[in-house]
Parts: sequence; C-alpha cells; structure tokens
Amino acid sequence: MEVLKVEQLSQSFGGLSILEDISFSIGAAEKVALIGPNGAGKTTLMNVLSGFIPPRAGRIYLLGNDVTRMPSHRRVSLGLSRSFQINTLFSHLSLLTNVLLAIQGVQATRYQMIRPITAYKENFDKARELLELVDLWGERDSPITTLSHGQQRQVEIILALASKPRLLLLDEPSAGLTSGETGNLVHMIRNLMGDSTVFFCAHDLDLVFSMAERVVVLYYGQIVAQGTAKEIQNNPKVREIYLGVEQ
Amino acid sequence: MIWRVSKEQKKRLLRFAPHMVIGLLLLTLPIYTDLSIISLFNKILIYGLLVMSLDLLVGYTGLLAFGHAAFFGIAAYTTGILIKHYHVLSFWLSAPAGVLMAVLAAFVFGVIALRASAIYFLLITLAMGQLIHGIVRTSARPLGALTGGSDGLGGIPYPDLGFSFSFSPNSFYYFTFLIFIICALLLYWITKSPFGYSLQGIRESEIRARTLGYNTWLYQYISFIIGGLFAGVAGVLYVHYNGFISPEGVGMGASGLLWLMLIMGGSGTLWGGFIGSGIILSLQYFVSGFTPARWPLILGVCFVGIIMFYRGGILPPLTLLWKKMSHDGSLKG
Repeated sequence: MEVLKVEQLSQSFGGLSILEDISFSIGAAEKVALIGPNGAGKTTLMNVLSGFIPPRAGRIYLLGNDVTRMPSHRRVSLGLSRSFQINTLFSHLSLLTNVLLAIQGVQATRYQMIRPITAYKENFDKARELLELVDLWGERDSPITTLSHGQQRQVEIILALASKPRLLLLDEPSAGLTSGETGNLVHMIRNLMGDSTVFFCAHDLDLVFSMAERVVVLYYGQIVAQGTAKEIQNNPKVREIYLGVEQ
Repeated sequence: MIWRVSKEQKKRLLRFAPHMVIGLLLLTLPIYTDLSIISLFNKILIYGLLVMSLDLLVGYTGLLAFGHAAFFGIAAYTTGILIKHYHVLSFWLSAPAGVLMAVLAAFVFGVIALRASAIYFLLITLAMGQLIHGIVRTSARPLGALTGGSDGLGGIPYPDLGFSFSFSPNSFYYFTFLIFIICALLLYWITKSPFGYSLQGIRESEIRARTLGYNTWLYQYISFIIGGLFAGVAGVLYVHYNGFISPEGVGMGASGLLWLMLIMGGSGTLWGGFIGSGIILSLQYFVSGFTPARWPLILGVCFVGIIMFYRGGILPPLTLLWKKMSHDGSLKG
C-alpha cells in the first residue's frame, strides 16, 4: 500500500497558481527527493502535505486515510512527521525538553497534569538514546539558543524522528550547512530513519543523489519529471531547467 | 535511628530553602505583627494567587490575556450576591458557585478569544473584561439591584464553614494561606507536568508543537480555563477578605495592575506572581502612608527601574543568586 498518495493537488495564493494538478505516490520505505528551482512550490507542497494550508483542489491520502482536510496534529498521530527549512525549535527550552516534547507528542500522557515530566522514565531513556547518537547528550541542559546552527539542524531532524514516524517529510534538511556538515547530517539521517518512508526536498544535488531512490522534479508548480536518480540526471528537460539551453 | 540525608535530598532541601523560609515567615506572621500587616499579607496572598494564575496563561502558554480580573470579579460577585441577596451562607455552596461561574465564563470567553492570537487575543480579552466591568457597573434593574452598580456590593462577612466556627482576622489569614498553598502547589505541579511543558512548547513555537502532534488550540483552551478557575478561587477569597467588591476591582485598571505585578515579579516563573504582588501591595501600603498623592509616581519609578535593569522581573536574578550562593558559596555542605 502507498504510504502517501497525492491526487490532482492544486494550490494558489490569490491569482498566483503555486501548485497545479500534482499527482504522485510514495510506497513503503521509499526515499524520495523533491527537487526544483527556487519558487517551484516545494515548501508549499510540504506545507499542504503537513496540513498547514488546505489545498484548493485535489486529495491527499496518508496510509490509505483521506487526510485532505485533517488538522496537522491528527496527521501526526497517523504517522506523519516533518522538519523545517528554517529552524523551528522550542528555542528557550532545554535540548532535553525539546526531545521529550517530541517523544510525548504522540502519547496519551501528553495531557497528564499531576505527575512531573521527569517521572516518565522510558521517554527519558529514549531521549538519551537519541541525543547520544548525535553526541549531544552533554548539551542536554543547554537552551536551544546556545547551540550552533549545525547542531540545531541536527535537532530539527531528531525532533522529527522522535515519534518514529511512518512518513517523514524533510524540508531542506541541509539548509545553511557546509558540505562537511551535510555529509554528517546525511549519515545521521541514514542511521536514524530505519524503515520510515522519507520524502525530502533539497537544493543540494549531492544530498539528493546520495539519499534518494527516486526523484520528483517540480517546476513552476508542475511535476515535469520523475524517476530514478540516473534517469533524472539524464533527462533533457531537467538538464534544461537546471543548466539552461545551449545557444 | 539516624536520619540520613542523601546528596540528592540535600540538594533539593537547599533548593527549596528560600520557599520554606518565606513559608515559615508567613506562617508565624500573626505572632509578631499587628492586624494591619496581617491584612496586607492576606491581600498579598490573594493577589499572589491571582497573578500566578495569570502567569500560567501569559508566562507559560504565551497567551496575552488582558481581561483576567474579569474571572476574579465574576467569582467575587457571584459569591457576594449569593450571600447578600439569596442568603446562601454556607461557604461550601457559595464558594464553589463563584468558582464555577468563573470557570463557565472562561469556557465561553476562551472559545471566542482563541479564534485570534497574539495582540488580537489581547484586544478580545480586554474587550470581554470591559464587558464584565460594564455589566457589574450598570445600575439598571434587575442587575443593578444585585450588584449595587457603581457603588459596589458590600457587607460580605467572613466565610461560614459550618461547625459553629467563626473567623477572626488571624484565622482568616491562615485560611487564605492554606488555600494559597494548595492552589500554588497545584499550579506548580501543572507547570512541571507533561501538560505544563507542552504549554511552554506551544509558547515557544506553536507550529512546531502542531507538527509534533499537539492540538495546540485545545491546550490553550484548557490553560485558559485553568487560569479562570484559580482566578475564581482568588475572587472568592477576596470578597470574604475585603467584605466588598466594586467594578474597579474587575475592569481594565485591575487587569493592568495584575500585569504590572507579573512583569515586576517575573513572568514564566510562577512564584514571581506572588513576589510581584508582594512588592506592589507593600509599596502601596507603606508609600501611600507617607505620601498618599504620590504613590503612583513611586510605583512608576520602580517599574521603570525594573524594566531597565531586570527585564525578566525580580525573581530570575534572585534565583540565580541563590543558586550561586548555595553551589559555591559559604552555604555549601
């Protein structure tokens, strides 16, 4: 069964059409990249998929459920998770609290009012495990604002993965990182994603071709090509978009 | 048997030492002060609880609620009217009714106000606070006959707990103290719970909280109702303490004063609400004794000073100082 199925999705802001008649699907455990030049509609597509903005037309199915009009938090309980292009963290809370909040987000205990958050030992152990994996356990009591940009990017991914999502959306995971840092991040994502399905958008083509099994190309709100990394690399239309036409 | 104290317990004891010292001072207050000071501290406790309930909304959830005195007033008026006009003398009936009305108001206001966020939320809560102020201020019948209009509602006695016990100012102070401690502990537990941390997460980034699975609207709504509940408790205590409630205690001026207390004490710290209430009410008490006309000026100077030098309020630097002293100072061991 497809983890994500998108049918004839359209979105526009005012008279400006951002996404036009987008249809694609992603199977279980697939790693799919979304590429396209600036303004192609990548982030808008991510926002529509995560439920921040309702689409103008079309349908979205998550694990067979129609989630087109479903609020974001309920999509999360179905197994969706995402990271942001611009760091969107709980800046003034400690790193550990950030991770604990991410873990408890899909648990019923998140409404619990009388027991202290520290009483949930399994969550604490899970947070420790996640943070030790990226060597940030020593920083657990620091507020997010004191971490470097590179570390905050790692935390972005950790928070998205903490709920063990079925479908992980990553919006420009390597935004603002050096190529060395990107390498580490890719390594980390590979380690952590397990058999999650991953749909990510990126500008960095090295990142795309090292992680994606399949690539979807978006250009002015339309899908102009999709296929394996190799097919996309040799696709004349994609080459034209990225490199221009030889005069 | 020797009472062994582990290192962890010692650390905790040391951390809560200031709380215990203040608690002890408050507990023994009637021994070494006169009635007017006890009355002052009684008021500080009631407003302390009220500002702490506001802190749950402002400091923890990030909701800029500017009509908080309305819940306080609704509870005070409800209890007052029940006692005065309907002769519901038992505290066990009139007090829960007051708190219930405050909760119901929060229930309704929350739905309306939470359709907006940030500054718009502030404006809607301000408007609803003024609405309540307008309702209790009108002298038009039948409401005016119940509330006393702009004259206010007076002649409310100390609570009647039954079992032929009657309060003195001292015992009512202890009664307030007990309820304050219970409510403050409940609020403290809430802020340390998964729910409380979720509120802080929502304050930091609502969008991230939503993508982690939190129904942020519901959290804000529940927090708003809890805030209304504790404000209601404070309102019931106040009407018994003061024996009188007037529209001035309900409107924009009152809500503004609560914000002032919160900012002075430190928002997002919970206990800061109590500290802020203590500072402002003490200032009012002592300074207005010297120069009744100029006390707002002195208050203004203090406020500007705190904003300039301690933007986060008084409590955070005090906490830091205590941490430093108890960690590497002479108090160690």
